[in-house]
Amino acid sequence: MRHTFTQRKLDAAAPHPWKRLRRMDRAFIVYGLVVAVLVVGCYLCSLVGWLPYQLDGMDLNHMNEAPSLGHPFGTDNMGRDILTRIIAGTQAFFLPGLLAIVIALVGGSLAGVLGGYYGGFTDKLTSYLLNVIDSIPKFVLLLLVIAIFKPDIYFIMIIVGATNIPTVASFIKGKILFLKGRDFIEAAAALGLSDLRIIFKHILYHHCLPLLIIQATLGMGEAILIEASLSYLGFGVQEPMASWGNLVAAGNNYVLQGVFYYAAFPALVIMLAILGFYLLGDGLNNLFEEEERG
Amino acid sequence: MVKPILKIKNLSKHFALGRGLGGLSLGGEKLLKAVDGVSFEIARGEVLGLVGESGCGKTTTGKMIVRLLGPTAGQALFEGQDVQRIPRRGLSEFRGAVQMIFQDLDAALNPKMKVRDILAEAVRLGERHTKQSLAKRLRELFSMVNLKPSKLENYPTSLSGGEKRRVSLARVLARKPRLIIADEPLSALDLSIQAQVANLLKDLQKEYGLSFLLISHDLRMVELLSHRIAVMYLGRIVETASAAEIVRRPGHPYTSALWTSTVARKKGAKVVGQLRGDVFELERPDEGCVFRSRCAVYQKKGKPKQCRVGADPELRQVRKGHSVACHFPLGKGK
Amino acid sequence: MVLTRDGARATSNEQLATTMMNALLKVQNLRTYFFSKRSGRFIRAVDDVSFEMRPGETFGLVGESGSGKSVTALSVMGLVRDEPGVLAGRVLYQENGKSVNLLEGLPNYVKLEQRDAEVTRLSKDNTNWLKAHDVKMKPLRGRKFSMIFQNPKSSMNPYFTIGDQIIESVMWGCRKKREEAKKQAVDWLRRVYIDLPERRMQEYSFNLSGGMCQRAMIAMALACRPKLLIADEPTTGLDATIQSVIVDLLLELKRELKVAILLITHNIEVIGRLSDYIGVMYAGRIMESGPSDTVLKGRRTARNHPYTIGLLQSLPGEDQVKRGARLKAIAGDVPDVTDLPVGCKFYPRCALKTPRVDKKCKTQEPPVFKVGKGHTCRCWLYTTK
Repeated sequence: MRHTFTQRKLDAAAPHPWKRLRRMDRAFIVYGLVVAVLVVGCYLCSLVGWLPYQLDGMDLNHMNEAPSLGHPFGTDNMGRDILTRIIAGTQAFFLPGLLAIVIALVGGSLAGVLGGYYGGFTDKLTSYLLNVIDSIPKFVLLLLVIAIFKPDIYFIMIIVGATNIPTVASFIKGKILFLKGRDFIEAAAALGLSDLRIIFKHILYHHCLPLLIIQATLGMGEAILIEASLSYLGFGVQEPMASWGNLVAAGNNYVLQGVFYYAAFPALVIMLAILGFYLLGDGLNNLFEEEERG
Repeated sequence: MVKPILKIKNLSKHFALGRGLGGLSLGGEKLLKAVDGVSFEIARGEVLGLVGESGCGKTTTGKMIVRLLGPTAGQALFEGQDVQRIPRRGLSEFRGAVQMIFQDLDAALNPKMKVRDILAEAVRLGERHTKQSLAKRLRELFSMVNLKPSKLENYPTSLSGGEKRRVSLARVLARKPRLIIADEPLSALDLSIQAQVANLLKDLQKEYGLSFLLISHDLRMVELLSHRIAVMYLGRIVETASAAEIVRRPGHPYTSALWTSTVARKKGAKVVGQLRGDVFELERPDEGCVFRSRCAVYQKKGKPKQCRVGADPELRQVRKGHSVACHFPLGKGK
Repeated sequence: MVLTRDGARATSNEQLATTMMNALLKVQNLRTYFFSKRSGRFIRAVDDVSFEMRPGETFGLVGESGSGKSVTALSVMGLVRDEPGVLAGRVLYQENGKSVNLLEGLPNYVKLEQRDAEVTRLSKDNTNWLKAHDVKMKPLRGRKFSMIFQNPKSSMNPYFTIGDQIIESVMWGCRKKREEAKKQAVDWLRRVYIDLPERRMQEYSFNLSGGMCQRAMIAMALACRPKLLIADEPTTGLDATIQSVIVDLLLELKRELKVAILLITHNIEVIGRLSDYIGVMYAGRIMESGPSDTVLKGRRTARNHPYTIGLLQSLPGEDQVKRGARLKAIAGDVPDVTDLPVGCKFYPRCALKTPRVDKKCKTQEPPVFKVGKGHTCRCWLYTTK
């Protein structure tokens, strides 16, 4: 394959890392951002009640209707607009998802700093605890908790967040050990900077922020996945509240009758949304790497 | 006698090695004596060079002085005060007074911060500033290390090696230190830049009367920059003397080998008193002189008993201001 | 203007043989570029480099970081895989009176567009270029050419024992059976002064010290008696005393095996002790080359390049500098390889600029001038005009 290289003029500024990114990665990021904006938008709309139809607006004249101009995604078995229910369904995971993310990031940073920065006994203790958390299968734990406590979605998301702590912690710890290996932290300490300033400003803010952002996007993807799975199984958000998972579950009953869109549209939305967040995380990861290269 | 700015008394640092490296069991815990009973003094305005091969404990000694590591035994006294016992309140003052330059050029430079912010952070630790006075102080620091003020707006990644070293020097000077521990300040630099930075260090030292502990493996550079030199081997100081003396009349066979191996430049030149093997290759003897396995004198003298039994030889004065830890110091009887 | 350099030149064997004379390796007008995506400009890592080596002779390339010395070595070995990589030049290798151009026909895969000696656009079919080059290089690499690297620990595989690695290279390089190779490996370890070679064979690279690892690497590289050993910074990162052990070892082996060594280092002492000929590299060019005694004189009267003079003067040495005196440093900074000056590349840092040649230095790059017997210099100072 023949490659062509063209020299740029000397006075031209160096291209932004964004420009140096692979076209594919750029597309991923754009798509991911669109998804993120749509999800946040839908959540805010449903919060203030800007919905095309009433959430529980049953219309027995229009049951199981095919997509039309009035109902772009069709209606369900009680004549409710599916699009409306999908928009409102963001409420089921959005805040709980944020909670999971916050728990994972804060807990992970804390554990990572304790393990990496202080080392010694605290390191041994935290890594032991993290290993314990890590060794429990996440889904089994969730089902167990549900079976025992019959908890609401917030409680479930707290568990999800907690199970993500080890991942974040290991990233942060690795980064700190890397910085330690390059005398970076010792140099800061020798200058006279306080521990808190080194940890928050130099380590977390300057070196781990990209990492934390990526973890947050991945976390939102996971929150959607877990909420949808649990609701589909009937453990999560219950009717008449809308959730993407229970929409698919309800729609499943009608697939054999030829009403495919009832389940298909929510399922498609779930897939596209999760994909969006995961690709966003991936693309951002590459973008930050490119930035790191300077 | 004038009180020294730094006094090291019998400083030791031992590390417990895990049971073998790479999962291989060697049986029992091993003790690595990184620094083993080191004593020296640095007078105000003096540059002491600490020379030795990698792994001889130079850097560990430096880190104990700035309190990045705690010693296993012994003391480091800065202006008469044990650095390990400085109370929390006095710590920030101490951190300002004793600064360290690291070998890694990037150690002091957060890649995400502009040079201006890196320096401002250091300046603000010890001084209060308005916006204008801060800008003035930064320019002043930059002119001290001969950098163009325009470089203040750069990120560290866009600086060359020499510039990075100058910025890290400026960061150290921002705290107005009285003693600087410089750990291999030149070794990461290109040859033509080394001379520039060496000159800069010399000028700064003279102009501000700074005291330096100059840690390096390059005896030649150290000889040029220091007043006095201490040579370290496997955690112990084997020779101290003034810089001129140590290269003209080295007393320890190790110093002599170190010097000749650094300066031989002629085509096919043979190094006199070449050392055998390297530090880690040969078993460290439990008894007697630790250097003997590589020592040319020991071989030549037919492995005398003195070197094989008893403790490692102590530092003994052979001339005024010149001490050697060897049973058979060179240049004696001449 | 579209140019294909060197492709048109006659390369018949007879002609080569006469130009080669008794040389083992002759590199002519070698050019290796890289492309910096960040700045969108070419890194002219090696630009118009020529030198030759005779059997049993050491040629030392000395220079600072970014001067292109390592890339020169990698280009000769055919180990530059990055694009665009090697673009032009000839690497002539002679054995038993027959000589081959290892880059023959390869410039056909390259297209350069130039404006005022500045390459503005180039395209290269790297896949096929490498394929064609590998066909020529494969029988040579490891057998006739071998290489040792700066960091012996990372160039050894930590999952195999030292012994296995040496045995493997002997089996490949000398086409030996395993048993024989093993015996040879032990012999070689003994030859590079490694105590208890049988025991060391069983160890892994991370259990050995840096100096020992480098000696094992040397044993591995020389075990099959190559004609050419490329030593890329063989002593860097090692302590001074161990450096000199390695230098002594290389001197001894060179005398015994009559192997030609291409030594690459930034360490003037090492290069001075080992080399017969020296090339001083700066910004991708050989600024000066000649017999090592001549080059290391470092005087204007010896017609040395101002860069060489500056470099030698900036060293604190036994005789040059009195204690307490300042060093004579070269002013300025190491050049940015993506943005070199138009004229002489050393001009901005040159301390020997004179009004007579100043204008020329600024605008025209000096070609290679012959200034003495086997002594060349890229400097306008030594022209009579």
